Amino acid sequence: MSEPKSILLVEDNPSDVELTRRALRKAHIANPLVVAEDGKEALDYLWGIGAHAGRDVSDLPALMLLDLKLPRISGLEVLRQARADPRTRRLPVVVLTTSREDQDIGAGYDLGSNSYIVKPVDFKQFAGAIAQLGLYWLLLNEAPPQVQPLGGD
Amino acid sequence: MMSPGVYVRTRRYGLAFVAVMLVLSGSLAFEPLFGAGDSGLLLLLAVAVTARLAGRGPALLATGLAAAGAWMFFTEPRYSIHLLGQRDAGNLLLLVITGITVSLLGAAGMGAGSVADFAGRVFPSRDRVARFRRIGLMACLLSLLLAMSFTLARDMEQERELRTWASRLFEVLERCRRLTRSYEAANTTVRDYLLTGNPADERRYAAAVSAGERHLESLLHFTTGDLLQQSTLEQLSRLAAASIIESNSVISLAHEGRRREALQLLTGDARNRTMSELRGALDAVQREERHRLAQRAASSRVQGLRMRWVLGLGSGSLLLLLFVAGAIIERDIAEREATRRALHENEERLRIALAGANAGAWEWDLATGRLVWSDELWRLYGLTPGSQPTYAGWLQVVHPGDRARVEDELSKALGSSREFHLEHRVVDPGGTVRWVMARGQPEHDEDGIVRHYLGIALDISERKRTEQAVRESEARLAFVLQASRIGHWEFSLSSHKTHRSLEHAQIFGYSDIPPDWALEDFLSHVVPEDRDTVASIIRASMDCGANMNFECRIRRADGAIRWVWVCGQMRSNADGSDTRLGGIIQDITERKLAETRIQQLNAELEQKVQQRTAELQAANKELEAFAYSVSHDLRAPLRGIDGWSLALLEDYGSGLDQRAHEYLSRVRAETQRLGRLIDDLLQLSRITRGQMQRTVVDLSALAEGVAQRLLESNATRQIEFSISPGLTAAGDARLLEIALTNLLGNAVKFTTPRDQARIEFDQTISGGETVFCVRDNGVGFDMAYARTLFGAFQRLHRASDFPGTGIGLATVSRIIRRHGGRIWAEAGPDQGAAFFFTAAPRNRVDSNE
Repeated sequence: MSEPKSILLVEDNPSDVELTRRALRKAHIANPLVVAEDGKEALDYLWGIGAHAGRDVSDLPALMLLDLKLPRISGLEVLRQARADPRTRRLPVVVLTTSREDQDIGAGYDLGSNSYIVKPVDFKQFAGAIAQLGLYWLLLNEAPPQVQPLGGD
Repeated sequence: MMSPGVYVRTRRYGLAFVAVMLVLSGSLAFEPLFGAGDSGLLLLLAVAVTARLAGRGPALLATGLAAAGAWMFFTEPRYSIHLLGQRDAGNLLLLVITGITVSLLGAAGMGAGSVADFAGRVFPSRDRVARFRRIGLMACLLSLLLAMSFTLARDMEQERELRTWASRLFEVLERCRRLTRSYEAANTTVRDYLLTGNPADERRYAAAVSAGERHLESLLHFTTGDLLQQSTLEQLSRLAAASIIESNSVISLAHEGRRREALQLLTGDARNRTMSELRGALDAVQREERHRLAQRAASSRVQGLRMRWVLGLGSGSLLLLLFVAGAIIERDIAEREATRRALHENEERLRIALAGANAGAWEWDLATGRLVWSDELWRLYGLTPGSQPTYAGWLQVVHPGDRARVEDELSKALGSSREFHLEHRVVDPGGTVRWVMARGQPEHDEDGIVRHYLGIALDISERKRTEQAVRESEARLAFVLQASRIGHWEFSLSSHKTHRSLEHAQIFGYSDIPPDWALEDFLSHVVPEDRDTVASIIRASMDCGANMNFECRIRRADGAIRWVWVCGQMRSNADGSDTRLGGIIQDITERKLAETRIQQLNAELEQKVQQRTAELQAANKELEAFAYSVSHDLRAPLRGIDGWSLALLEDYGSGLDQRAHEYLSRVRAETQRLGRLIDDLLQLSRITRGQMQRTVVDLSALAEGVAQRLLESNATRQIEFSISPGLTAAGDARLLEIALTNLLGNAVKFTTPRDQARIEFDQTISGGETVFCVRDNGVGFDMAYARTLFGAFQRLHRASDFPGTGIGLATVSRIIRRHGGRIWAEAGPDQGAAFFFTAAPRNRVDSNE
């Protein structure tokens, strides 16, 4: 498979989406960026339902960057449902949010987030964080093994 | 000394011995007069008397002694213990059975058993008891002596008789022997004459015959009145006469010369028979006399035995009685001594009592007016003993205010010869006033005329003071009860009488105290709903003596329903008599109404508090939601502004002139400042909302860590930190670190103009409170603005001089307040600043938190 795995960015703010895309580009991360603008869409993409019906579900993103404050289904709920489904149980998830609230951080880890990053206001710092995220999760980190479609593992 | 129990027992059992021994010695002594037939009955009488006077045990002992005595003295052979014949054994058994029955029956009717008790029942007075006892003892002693003398007299008589009998026997025997010799001589001389024919023999024969007749005559004379011996002797004389006739015939035959015939007659069978009969009769007389003497001797031996026993038993009884008499005399002497001693002790006690009670005694001779005072009395009046007391002198010490009354009472009492009782004050020469109580009692002489008075006087100042104190205390109590409208009541469980105060009656709606008021009246006033409960409380209090305290509703006499509070307790006199249930009652209707109002108000207040709390909680939630939005929604655009400004600079920077670059830099700087502002605000709100985790925090270590970071981020500056070691406080380590970070950070910031910055962190103890202090040598500030120092967004310096958001000290202040502490500052322009704070509440938790 010559095509690198995608990064799923769940973010409703277009400006942040573009800035993230820019930061990834600056960091020379070539993985395709899939954007879901709310929690519902993110789950649809992951499970191949709704607007994303028919998508090959086994083709999981390499990383999901998840904002918490989302329309329709909140980020924490997306995390809970993704972790409850065997297909997405091992998906690396990084919460990327502006909330520094203890309860959000605690809930994020409790629901199985692999990492929790607070978005700085300073774009330089933000870009640096994105670059390090990509470096760590896409290159350094060993991806989890593929979950069998029939849940045979 | 014997113990009383042993003494009584000895006396009771001694009685058994004395009674039986008296009866035995008496019976034996008077047996020659009255025979021994009634001894059994007398012994039973002794048993009965013992049972009656000394009880069952001694009576049974008396029965045993009586049986032994009867066995010993009244059964054959007498005066020895031996196997009994059938009849005697039966009689003895009957005596024993009757004795036991008499013992049991006689003792059954008696409680304690003693002579004195019995005598005490018979004779009511103690003297008569003693007299009874003395007379009884004398009677016993006299009868014993009588019995013994009688026995002795009898015995001497017996002895004399026996001696007479013995001499008579010798006499009879002697005469019989002479008579025999005469008869033998007559017989021999007849034979001799026949053989020799000598006339001398014939003369001798005649002399022997006349001697024989003489001897027979004297024997007959000696036994005059003795019919048996007389008849034997008559037979003897007849035989003797026959023999003489025969002898005379022999002699006359010899005279005639018919010697052969004479010899034949002399040696013939008839002659031999006559002679042997003669001898036999003489033997019979002698045998009879010997037999009689033996009988007399035997009888005398028995008498001797009886006498010995009578004397023995009598002496024993005498000894016992003398012992008893001695004991009684000794006891009488001891009693008399005890009485004398008791009298003496009483006198002594009276003297001590009078002295102890500070009482003085006096005597007043009415005829002469002479007064005699004891030393105590002198002292009582504050006078020196010695001189002759007078009535006028006495009147002088009586308090002037009491003098007229005392004289009046005294003259009245004397006038009617009554006893008197005065209480008056005395003023002694030193001016001290005391209360004295004087009592006088008239002494009547034989004619019934009062010649003088006897009396005492004692100091009753203490009693008067106590009485006064009690009266005052009662008055105070009454005033308190009256003023606070508390009713008093007391119910006597023995007399069922109730004492009540007027307030008590008024509480129940009466204008005065109704005469009869019982527990039932109270209960009838209690409203029916409360009545059972109240009754059971009162019953429980009466049953177990517990205090009671309850509130209930009553229906007053005017029909109004009122709340009352009743409190009571059980009290008794010191000796446990006259148990009373007493206490107080108060109308608490107003209080009850107020309580109800307060309860309603409390309920309303509680409701309002809950409402306000809910509103506050809603507001807090809103604030949290706002803060969340701020952190999330306000910062996102800022990042966009910053990001796109940077993108513009990066992507199109080459086409922009210097001014455009500067403008974009300002846009980015402002954006980042706003971002910091938002972060600080969020921190401030988090500090208010977050949970505190209290531990003992090492403030010195925290400060060292903060100082280290500040030194690293201000590496170009000369900063000297002086942090006292070992500073600790109880609190949340995270919050305290934030506070120290802000305080030390401020100190670093405001010492920027100083070449050598000096920052201290230490503590002082002030008013028992630990006060921490962060001090710097920075620019300081004007204390006129210190009031606004700890408000959010309040700044005392221009941002161009010292950049900042104005939230730092507000955050510190809020952290300190959350710990219950206080924070304040001291500073002056260019004189450095000192921030003081405490980390624990002074007395109580700060109400702001």
